[in-house]
Amino acid sequence: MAGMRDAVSQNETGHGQALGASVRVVHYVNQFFGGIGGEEHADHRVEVRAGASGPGRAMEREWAGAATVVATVIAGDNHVSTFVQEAEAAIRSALEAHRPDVLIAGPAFNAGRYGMGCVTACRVARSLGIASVTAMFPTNPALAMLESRGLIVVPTDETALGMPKAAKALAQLALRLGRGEPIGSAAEEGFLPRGLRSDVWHEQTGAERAIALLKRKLLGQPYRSELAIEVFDSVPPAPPLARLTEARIALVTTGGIVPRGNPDRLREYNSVTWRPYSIAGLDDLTADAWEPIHGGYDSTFAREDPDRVVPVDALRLLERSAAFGALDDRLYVTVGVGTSVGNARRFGEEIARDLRERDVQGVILTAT
Amino acid sequence: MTTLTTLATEVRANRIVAGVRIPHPVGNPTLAPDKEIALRVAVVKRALEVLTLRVDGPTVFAVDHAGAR
Repeated sequence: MAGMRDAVSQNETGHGQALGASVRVVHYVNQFFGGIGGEEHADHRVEVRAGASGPGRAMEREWAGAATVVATVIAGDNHVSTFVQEAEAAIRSALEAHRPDVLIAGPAFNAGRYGMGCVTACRVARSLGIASVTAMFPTNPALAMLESRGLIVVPTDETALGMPKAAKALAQLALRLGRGEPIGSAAEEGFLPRGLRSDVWHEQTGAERAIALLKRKLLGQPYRSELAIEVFDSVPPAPPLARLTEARIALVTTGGIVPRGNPDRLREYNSVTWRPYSIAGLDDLTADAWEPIHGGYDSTFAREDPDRVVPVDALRLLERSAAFGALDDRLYVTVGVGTSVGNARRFGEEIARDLRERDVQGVILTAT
Repeated sequence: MTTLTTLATEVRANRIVAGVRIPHPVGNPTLAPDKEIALRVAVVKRALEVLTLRVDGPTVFAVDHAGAR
């Protein structure tokens, strides 16, 4: 039976090297840990030095010959977080030149810019098919960046006092990644959850596992759910609209109202995409041209009149009476039922980008 | 705009306008057509108004109109 857990996919672990050979490591550090200097050197450009430096030396002691830092990539915190593309290109050429089995970045502890550098380095490695691992404090601001999703991040203490522990954990995980060994779930391995699910074969059916879990709970024994409870982002409220009468307003819906026939084949359940549809010149959404395809609510009423879910008619009336500036030509549609939080977050980010490009100031989102 | 205001609060939507019913958040099929469009205009007007209000976090706004809830 398929269960779900956060595990490393094949392509991340498929780059092992010959048995017995020392694992080749490239290590990314900032100007401080690279021994160049403190904040006064934060503009230092990406520099590549042969061999290990700073925390890389501690990791080499841990490996005792099983792995070697072939090069250390050093970048100033300001440089890497300001000139991201330039830094990326330099890190990419270093990785192409040294062809490591694994990239280690950090540990960055709670340093935000250093954390961003580590995330950048890991992303470059991933784009080249090179395994990577970094380490930082779980609330390091770099982990709030979209780019950090899916990376293997070992949690550390808040400050460099936690270096010995962090270096050891990084060294152990990196060795296995470099050897192409299979890596277990976040909970099993101790890295931060990546929000990934993968199919695994299990000898027991879901029903058997559910009963076993319930038994443990009733007996007061420790138990762990196979599905983590989602933690939702807290988004700061947008400031109020200053001039509603000049504002461009757009409609977004998770209610699955699409042009009749569902031309883009949007899914009725477990949505994986969204689509913009033109409502330019339309005074309302008529039942002959639009229909609900949402698999989660009784669509009888929306089938009779789609405006009951997407109020184009009311907005046109208010637009004509100058209650607001203008209704945008695009209606953004997705289906909100069984949709994963990860996909929903992506839809939101993509739609928000589009809205901003279209100079939309306010959004009415209807949800069923 | 949603009828599931508790859920919307839980997932941290900041400006939440209470809808009519789950299958018709901005409509009410029990009303005569002219009454229903009047209701929809009132609900949407409320949403526009809410966009001009400052909020500090998830806040639910009711719609004061016959048949709105």
